[in-house]
Amino acid sequence: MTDERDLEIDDLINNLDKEYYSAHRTANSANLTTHKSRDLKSLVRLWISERTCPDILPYAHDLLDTMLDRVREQVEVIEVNTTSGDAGGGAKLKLLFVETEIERVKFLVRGYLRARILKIDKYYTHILNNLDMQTRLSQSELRYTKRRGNQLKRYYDLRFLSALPPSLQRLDDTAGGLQMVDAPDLDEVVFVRVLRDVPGEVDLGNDDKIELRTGNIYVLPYKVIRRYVDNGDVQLV
Amino acid sequence: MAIPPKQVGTFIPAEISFLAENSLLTIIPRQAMESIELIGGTIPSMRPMRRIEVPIWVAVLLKKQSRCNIVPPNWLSEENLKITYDAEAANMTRFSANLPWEWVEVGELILGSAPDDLSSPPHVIRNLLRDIREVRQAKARAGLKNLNDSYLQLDNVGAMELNEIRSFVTMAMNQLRIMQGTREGAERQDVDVEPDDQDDDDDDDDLPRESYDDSMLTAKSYQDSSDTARNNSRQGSEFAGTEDERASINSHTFGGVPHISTQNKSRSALPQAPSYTDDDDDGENEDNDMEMDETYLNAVNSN
Repeated sequence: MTDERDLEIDDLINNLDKEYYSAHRTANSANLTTHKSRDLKSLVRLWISERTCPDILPYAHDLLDTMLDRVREQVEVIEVNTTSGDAGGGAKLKLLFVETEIERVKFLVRGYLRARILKIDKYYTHILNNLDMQTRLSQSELRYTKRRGNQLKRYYDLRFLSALPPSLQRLDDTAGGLQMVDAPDLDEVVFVRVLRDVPGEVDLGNDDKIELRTGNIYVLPYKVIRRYVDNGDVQLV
Repeated sequence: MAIPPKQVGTFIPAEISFLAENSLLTIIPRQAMESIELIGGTIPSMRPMRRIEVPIWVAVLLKKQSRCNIVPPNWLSEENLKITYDAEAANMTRFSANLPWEWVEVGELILGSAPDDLSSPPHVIRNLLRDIREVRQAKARAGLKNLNDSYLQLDNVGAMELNEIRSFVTMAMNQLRIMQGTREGAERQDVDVEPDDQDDDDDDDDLPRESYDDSMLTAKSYQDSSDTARNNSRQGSEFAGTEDERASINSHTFGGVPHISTQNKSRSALPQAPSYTDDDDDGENEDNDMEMDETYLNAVNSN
């Protein structure tokens, strides 16, 4: 009889502890949670921007490092939970969410990097001739660009350039007003959504003026809106 | 490895949907679950019947396992959708602001994963959503007639809707811009640079250069020139009709007024829209319309 009551009391206390603990933890981690959701949102934005922007944007070192660290942490969580063997129904469900989210984050990171590689492949000569562009790449991206440049140059030489007169062998010729080197075209139009009101009007340079009010959606040349994308007044969509 | 070609310059519908899955949705858990730490935040601990907000992808996973009920957002109720539809149909020059940015995707996700949690029969909601989507697509299509090389305003267009017109609008505006640049360059240098090399593969929007110039010089009113256009096409003079109509679009365009605009300076343009398709003789413009339709159908089908 007493045993039973003791058990019940123990249960109650345990439950209380648990509840107190989790409430406490929630309060403490509220800050962390907002950080986390902000980071994920940034990653999403980064992915969208890189996909839609004609130019190569600066590589987001800090954010990528943070996100990849967290992915590693979560992978550890999975490993610990699966090897410890207490794969009850609840634990399995928990792991399902953790795994799904890891895949979602990895998809974003992969998409981000692949969108960059697309532009790097296209503009590699321009990048190699332009220091400002190079500072926007990560170390491995820069390595990739250089190697790609060298390999292609060697390949072209071997295949046909060596057979041409020396004056026609250059790959970055500008003769005749034509650029051989592809550079990002900042005049290309982009879709943007205005996040906060911008005072005054924006001059589009051709007698057209527009107002940027929260919620407006515009399609316009990247060049004229770039400033507002950079300071966060508008976002690429 | 760079992204595959079909994802260059646009998003595929699955990606737009993927993005929408990150937004929050209210659910009513059916059973208790401890909170879970994730990379992008925490799934709060769940108690049966206590409402919480979670990302849509979490809600969908839970729903699949019958561990929660989804609380559909207010705008997705039959009543509100009807109001929205009426608002959409009442004003053909603007998109109503009743729907959230991700309305197409969220609607599909909820209809697909939790049809039983809706307050009305799913087919009613589905039909309403489709009706609204069609009205809005008609507006977007009408607005495309006024593309120019400067800018386009598309307030209250949803993420998925925007993505559907993205490739077309981007391509057309870039092409117009290149032509405008060529024109200015030609004027400056007084050298006749042939703009046609780049225009050949762009069928819908290569405005003949003469008409382009005409529109700039004469700056006819839209009404005038479109009347001329219709007269011309009735006489069976297909080419002239087309050119004039294009000129009319152009002169209108150079008034600097985007079609789907909150400023609403361009209302006069809309009543004209049906006249393009009414003219039987006007083969080329009908072609354009059909091509536009195809673009839309493709976008919708691949959805």
